[in-house]
Amino acid sequence: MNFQPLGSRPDPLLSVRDLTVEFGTKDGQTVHAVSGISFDVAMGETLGLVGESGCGKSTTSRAVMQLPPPTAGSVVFDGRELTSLSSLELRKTRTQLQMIFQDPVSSLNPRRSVEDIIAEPLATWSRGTPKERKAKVYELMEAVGLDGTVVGKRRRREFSGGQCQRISIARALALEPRMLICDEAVSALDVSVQAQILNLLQEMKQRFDLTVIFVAHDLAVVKRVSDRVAVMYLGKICEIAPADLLYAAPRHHYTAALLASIPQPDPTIRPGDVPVLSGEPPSPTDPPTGCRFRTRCPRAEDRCAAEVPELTEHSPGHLVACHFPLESSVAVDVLRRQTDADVLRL
Amino acid sequence: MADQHANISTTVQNDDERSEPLLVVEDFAVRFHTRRGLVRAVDGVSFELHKGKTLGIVGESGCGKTVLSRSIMGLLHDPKVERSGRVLFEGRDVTHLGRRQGRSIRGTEMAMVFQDPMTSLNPVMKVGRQLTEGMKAHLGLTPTQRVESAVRLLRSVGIPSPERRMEQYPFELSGGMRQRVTIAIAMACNPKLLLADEPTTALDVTIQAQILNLLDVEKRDRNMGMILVTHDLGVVAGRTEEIVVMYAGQIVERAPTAELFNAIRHPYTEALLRSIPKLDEPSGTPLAAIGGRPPALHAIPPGCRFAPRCPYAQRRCFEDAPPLTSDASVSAAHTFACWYPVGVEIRPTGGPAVEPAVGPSAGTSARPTVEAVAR
Ligand SMILES: Nc1ncnc2c1ncn2[C@@H]1O[C@H](COP(=O)(O)OP(=O)(O)OP(=O)(O)O)[C@@H](O)[C@H]1O
Ligand SMILES: Nc1ncnc2c1ncn2[C@@H]1O[C@H](COP(=O)(O)OP(=O)(O)O)[C@@H](O)[C@H]1O
Ligand code: SF4
Ligand code: SF4
Ligand SMILES: [Mg+2]
Ligand SMILES: [Mg+2]
Repeated sequence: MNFQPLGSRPDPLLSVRDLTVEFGTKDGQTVHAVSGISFDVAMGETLGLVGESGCGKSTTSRAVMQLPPPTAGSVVFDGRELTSLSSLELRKTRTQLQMIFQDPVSSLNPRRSVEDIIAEPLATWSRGTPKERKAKVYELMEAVGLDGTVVGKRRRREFSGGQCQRISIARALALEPRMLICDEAVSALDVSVQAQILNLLQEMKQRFDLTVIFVAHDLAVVKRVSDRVAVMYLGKICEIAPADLLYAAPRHHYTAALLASIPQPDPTIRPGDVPVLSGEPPSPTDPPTGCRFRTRCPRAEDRCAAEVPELTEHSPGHLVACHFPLESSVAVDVLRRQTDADVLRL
Repeated sequence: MADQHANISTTVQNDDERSEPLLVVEDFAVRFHTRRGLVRAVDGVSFELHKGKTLGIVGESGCGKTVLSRSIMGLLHDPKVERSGRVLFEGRDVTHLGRRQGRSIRGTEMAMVFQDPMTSLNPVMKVGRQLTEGMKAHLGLTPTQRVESAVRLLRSVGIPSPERRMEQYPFELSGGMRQRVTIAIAMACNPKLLLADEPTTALDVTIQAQILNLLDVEKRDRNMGMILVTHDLGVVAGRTEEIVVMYAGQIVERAPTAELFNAIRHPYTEALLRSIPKLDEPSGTPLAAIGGRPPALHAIPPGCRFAPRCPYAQRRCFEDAPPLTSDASVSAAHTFACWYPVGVEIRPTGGPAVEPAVGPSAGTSARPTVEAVAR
């Protein structure tokens, strides 16, 4: 595959190339969870990763963390190839690369106080004196909106889901990572709490200069926080573009269908108004030949079964993997605004 | 709470609504006796639903949506559960009928679809048998007729090769397929009322759209009444005739759907809508998050239950609980429980009855009380 895919970022903190993750099943089949995906995340950028359940978002995130290492492909973080590091080197690197999960409650140890939970990574890596560590923990609690003097000694069961997620964020930030991977970090939360945590993540990103991969299945949430968005379907990336451009003018048929199925808080849109994708994603043990979306794509032709569509750049920064992409209906100024903003940011 | 339903029986008149409502819920309350104290999960709720209509119930998690719908279904019969008020189904009082006594109504005339399809599916019974069992109890069909009818139902809810699916166990199906099966089971006895409690919360958006459309088709084909419970205002916006917004066990706003979205009156509804990320706003826009959490339902503070989180709260809000009222000059069908509703113009004469501000963002809203307008 092309090692310099179009849309690669100048100055990437993370470069993923041809990442493949396969699992064996009991009955001897192979689950093609992630199949040769490539993307970059630029310093200071938030890359959103969306797609339906089972499309490989979590597998991709975990493969970046080398938990477990991918079946094939390369992951370069801050200039180092993670797939070939020794386990000690890898542990060290992971302090720079932290992950937050969907279920904030079960990711916290029920028997330890909040203070200890947040201090744990600091203690493990012997950062500072116990006193310095304690000061750091209180600073982190303050940063995520928890009053340490009130809640520091409490245990997990005394917190709501939203508060548990604040604690996980504080813990993830303890070692001052450069990159944060949030895997469905707000998906289990109520809308109002979700808004609080999303705003908190944005604030933390500014305050701690973070680069972020934000994984979620909710496209509106992803748009909010992302500079660019990658859409996955059955282990492949269909489309990557600057967030506003992707939502204003999707070019892949799957992205368009996904956007159309989001319920809008607008009573003038009636159920019949939007086309609904029929069927369900096929099994990843036996993905369709050619384009993996072809079994549900309204535009599919013979070529789609015969030839895998490669991810190619259709307009600056807009990559699409489709033989017959949707017309670009973008008003030129939207495009210009986007690409200008993109250039400025980098 | 006696005045909660004082003003709310006037709704838009059409053929269906002039007839007797399918379901009437009147000053209904459900309380749990727990070690922490008395949990007021549902507190003085009133609404009605007509045949062929869909009512949306929205609110944050823990506001009582599930307790309300399950107790309408008669699923919460337990000595520790206390209920008051009335639930009338086609004029019959079913408030105190448990599942067993209510068997002839519940499961036949009233059916429910849950968030987690496994709540209503038996994990160790084949799909086909789960469908035919229900029919055995209620409809006088022969075994062959039951199987035929089950296959027909599975096909009608969009399950491909239904004959094969009949022989499968629930774990062999995807989440979306399982939810289709539970809908088929719910439809098996041709119910008049369907309660759907977050039926798509666990599903992906594309599957969610399929399931919501399926529910809509079933509702129309059978002229059922439907209650669609969700935390997502987007889900109910285009699919309901009326919406009820719940907060801490009570209805805080209730209106015909279009009216609600046109002119939200309750600060909680407004805040809920603002906290949802919307697709048409540019990326990076910060969300208007509602601070804090709803009150614990065993220690409800006096006054308006939303007051500690409300940006418009004044002193009065912390002392007196606002009743559900309407602004009759605008719409009698739109009711809300708030002393300082959103969108009320400050009238030139009389001057605003603004009290000294307290609350989190004191002074952000100097608005008159609604009483003068509403009563
Ligand atoms: N350890 C494993 N063994 C076998 N298959 C696996 C394993 N982990 C993941 N898979 C499969 O790989 C595919 C991708 O899974 P993954 O968890 O990455 O999806 P996802 O996009 O994160 O989905 P969700 O939105 O449900 O979290 C799925 O088909 C899943 O069943
Ligand atoms: N069996 C029970 N015993 C005690 N409290 C309960 C019980 N079931 C529900 N509750 C409480 O009732 C309130 C409303 O719950 P629920 O109806 O499930 O909310 P929703 O469906 O709106 O998320 C919550 O505070 C919940 O903890
Ligand atoms: S390549 Fe073919 S099947 Fe795939 S999205 Fe494009 S048109 Fe559809
Ligand atoms: S303005 Fe007062 S009465 Fe109205 S919602 Fe806010 S706190 Fe409650
Ligand atoms: Mg996942
Ligand atoms: Mg519920």
